[in-house]
Amino acid sequence: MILGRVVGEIWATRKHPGLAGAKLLVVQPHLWYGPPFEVAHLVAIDTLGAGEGEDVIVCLGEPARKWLAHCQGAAAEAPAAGPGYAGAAWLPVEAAVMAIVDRVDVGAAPAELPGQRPLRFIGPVPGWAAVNAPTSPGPGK
Amino acid sequence: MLLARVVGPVWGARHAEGLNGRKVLELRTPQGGRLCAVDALGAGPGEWVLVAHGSRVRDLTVGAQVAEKDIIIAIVDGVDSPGSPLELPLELTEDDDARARRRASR
Repeated sequence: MILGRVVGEIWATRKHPGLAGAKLLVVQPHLWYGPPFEVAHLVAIDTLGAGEGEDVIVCLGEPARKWLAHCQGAAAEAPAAGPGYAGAAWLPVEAAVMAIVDRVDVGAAPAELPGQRPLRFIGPVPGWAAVNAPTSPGPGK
Repeated sequence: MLLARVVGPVWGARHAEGLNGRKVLELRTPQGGRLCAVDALGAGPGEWVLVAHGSRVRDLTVGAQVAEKDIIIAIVDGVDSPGSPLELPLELTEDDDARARRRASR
């Protein structure tokens, strides 16, 4: 699961039928998570009503899709896919907002403990992490 | 899932059988990453698209026989992100733009 901040919402009219009515949020992860490509953002389906600027927890992969299907009351197992997208009623997604974060408690300055690396943030350092923040946030590899 | 911008189609005379009749597009992420994805929605050069990654997504959209794990699932109209660190929309590099125009003119 990824901890990140909602930075925007996506509007799309031409899309897979399974995405009809879905709220698509742009989330900037706070910490590096090993994405398959060179990106500093991810897009997640939101069913909880997260707003811009809020911290959220995003679940990636098949569990996210199954959870969304469960929320919609649909069967998680889709019928055999036909050619193209036409007539599809299932969800071709792999990221979902699973929680809206109220508060994050981080231990006091883990950077100073022996054998521990400091938290390195991809983007701006969130307020809750100020106590642990490195002086200049690096690219976070 | 991630946002990326279409550079243009990728052509291959010799390709895996599962890609027969499939349109493959070359994409750029806002951070300059490069990827290719199967498109069944008709995205054009310069458009922002939403890409989902993984064999499960592929199975659910274009079918398990397609030899590509990145699928375009939406064409983005706009991103409501004032002051976003993503700095959208990203301009393609000069080189990318030239290639996109050349491909579009075919």
